[in-house]
Amino acid sequence: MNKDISADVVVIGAGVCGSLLATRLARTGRSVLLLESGPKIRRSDLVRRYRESAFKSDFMSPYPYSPQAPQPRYTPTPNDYLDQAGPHPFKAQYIRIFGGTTWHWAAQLWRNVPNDFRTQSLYGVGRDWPISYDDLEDYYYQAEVIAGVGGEPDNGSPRKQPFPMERVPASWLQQRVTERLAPEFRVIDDATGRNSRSYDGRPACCGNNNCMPICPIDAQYHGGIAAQQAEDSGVEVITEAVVYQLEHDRDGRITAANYYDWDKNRHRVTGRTFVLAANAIETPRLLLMSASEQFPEGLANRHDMVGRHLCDHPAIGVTFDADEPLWPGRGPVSPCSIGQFRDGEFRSEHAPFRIDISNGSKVASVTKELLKEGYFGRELEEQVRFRSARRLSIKNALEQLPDPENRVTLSDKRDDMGLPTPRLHWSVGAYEQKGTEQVRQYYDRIAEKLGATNVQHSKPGAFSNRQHITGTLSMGHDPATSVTDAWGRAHGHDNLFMVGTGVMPTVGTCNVTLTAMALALRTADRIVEETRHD
Amino acid sequence: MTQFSRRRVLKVAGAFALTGVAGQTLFLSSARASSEATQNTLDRFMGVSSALTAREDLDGDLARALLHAHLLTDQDFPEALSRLEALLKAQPALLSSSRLAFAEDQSAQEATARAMLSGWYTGVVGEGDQALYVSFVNTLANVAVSDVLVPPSFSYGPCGSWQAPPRPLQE
Repeated sequence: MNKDISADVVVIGAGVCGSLLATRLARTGRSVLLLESGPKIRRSDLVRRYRESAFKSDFMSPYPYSPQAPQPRYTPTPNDYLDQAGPHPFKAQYIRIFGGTTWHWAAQLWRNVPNDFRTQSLYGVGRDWPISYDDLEDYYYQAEVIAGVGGEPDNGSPRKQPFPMERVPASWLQQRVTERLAPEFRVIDDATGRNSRSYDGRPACCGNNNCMPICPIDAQYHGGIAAQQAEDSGVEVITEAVVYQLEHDRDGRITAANYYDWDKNRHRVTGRTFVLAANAIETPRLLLMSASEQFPEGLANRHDMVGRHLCDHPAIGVTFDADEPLWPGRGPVSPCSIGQFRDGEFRSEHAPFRIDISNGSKVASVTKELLKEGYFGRELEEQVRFRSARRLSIKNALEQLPDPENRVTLSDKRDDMGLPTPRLHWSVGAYEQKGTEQVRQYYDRIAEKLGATNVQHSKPGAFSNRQHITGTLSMGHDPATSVTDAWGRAHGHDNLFMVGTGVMPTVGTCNVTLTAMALALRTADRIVEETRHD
Repeated sequence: MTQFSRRRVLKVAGAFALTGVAGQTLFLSSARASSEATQNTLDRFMGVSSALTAREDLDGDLARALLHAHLLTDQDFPEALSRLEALLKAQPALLSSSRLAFAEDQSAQEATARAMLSGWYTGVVGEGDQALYVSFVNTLANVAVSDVLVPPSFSYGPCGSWQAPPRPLQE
């Protein structure tokens, strides 16, 4: 034991949610300790690593791999950190560094639609949340102000106040697709934390078209900004601190967190309140690793709920060549989508979804494709131009119902620290398959309206992850069916809270970060209120 | 104050490096590359590359870097290059169509041609664990679209400049 540190609040995980919560608590005068398993890395180094990567299409490639804080990797060779128990592989991606996974994202900051919170009551499927849209509306706005969110106001999520950011101007591609798909499909601006003007000390977007894997100029909000803000607000940060166990007293209150530094020296930190913010896979892993004589199944797991209800947006995609040059690659990578299928009575029958239209440059992917087809010389370059100008790529965000059999457990394998790695059980059910059939029909209709040739659907029966990992720490009123209460507090552990996408009982049809940020701010306020007189 | 065009800035930024999967960068000096690969091999590499790309204006520094990467990832590359060169001299009609269509017994030469084309157009030599990054901004694919696009991670222009119809970028 090298360090003896104590704080009012100990936060584990320096991603966007843990960092926002830490900042808010520190600004009330509480001492806050933020433990992060990964290292701190400068944005400029990440940009350099991207440009020098041989695997630029792998969004993880700029982010260094650390055996002490392993993260799932798939390129060039899968590292099998996640033990896939099937039947469908759950190829999660997440980044274990200071700032977390939202270092690489398209800054999509959507609100749920109100009915997402009541799908069981309204449609007889899924789970109701213990809170409503109205409970979260103010926190949604607070998170939007922090991130500088702009977008289409009429997107199904009612607002009391306008977006804090003017929307980023639409690319030529977006304008043409919007016009040609109307009125059958309504293409709208995405809700994004991307600057159209200088905001909070960060510049306006200048079209680097590299939101994923790394914005070179911080024109979009991300967890690295949130984490640095936490440190600048007085939060004590310890990176390369791999928490492997929580200790508790007889009443189930958490008393300490034990962590290894990267040389595997043990440290112990104590606190009054503990907050787990280590993502929807690593947080369940820590709870399960913290099993004790009193809690042999792990913490917060008296009813075997930890890690269950693992959800994502199981996605299919389509690419095609439109009949006019659209030139994706000018402006942000993910600017617009079709949202008219997010809600309705049909939700009792099949999954709702959103359809995302990519504006990412296709030069690299069509070049590989053409080389594979054997093109060379002048014809190759002509085809690179032709396909790069016309190639459109579309994917979906389809709601997966929470299924208790889809879950995170511990595997029999160990990482370099000797800690058990996560095992994932995941399947895609009939409800999602039926929704997917609808999606595919709409893809064909969209392709038709854009005069498409060379239509390529993703492999039937295969689903890709959108990295919107939810459900594994579900909040709910009933301890028998949930892990946390309506404030993110662990059932049975009064001073243990959880933030992040894992506490979301359902995944909805939009990117999940804004909801998780709003919930984290709400949890922070709750902790402030409850500990006011400590 | 001197104003540089976007294209010129990108050209300056497009230094070459070799990067392995571990993220280690082996900055390449032209002198070192030249010493490792004979001028004769480089000349032959340039000749075959020109035939495959139908370009006479290939960048010499990039050629040296690509050749160096091929030599690092394939110890038999000089011999493979010789065999491909000989085949193309004997059968120039092989490059008269729009796609590579070598005979079955010429599959090794076709593989060499594909590897060389991949280097020039994607900036990466080798595959999987052996893949080496050589160039990004100056790949021929990026050059082919450089009148309309900038490579990802470089600035396109002021916010909203992408609203206009695509047209050649200003010199």
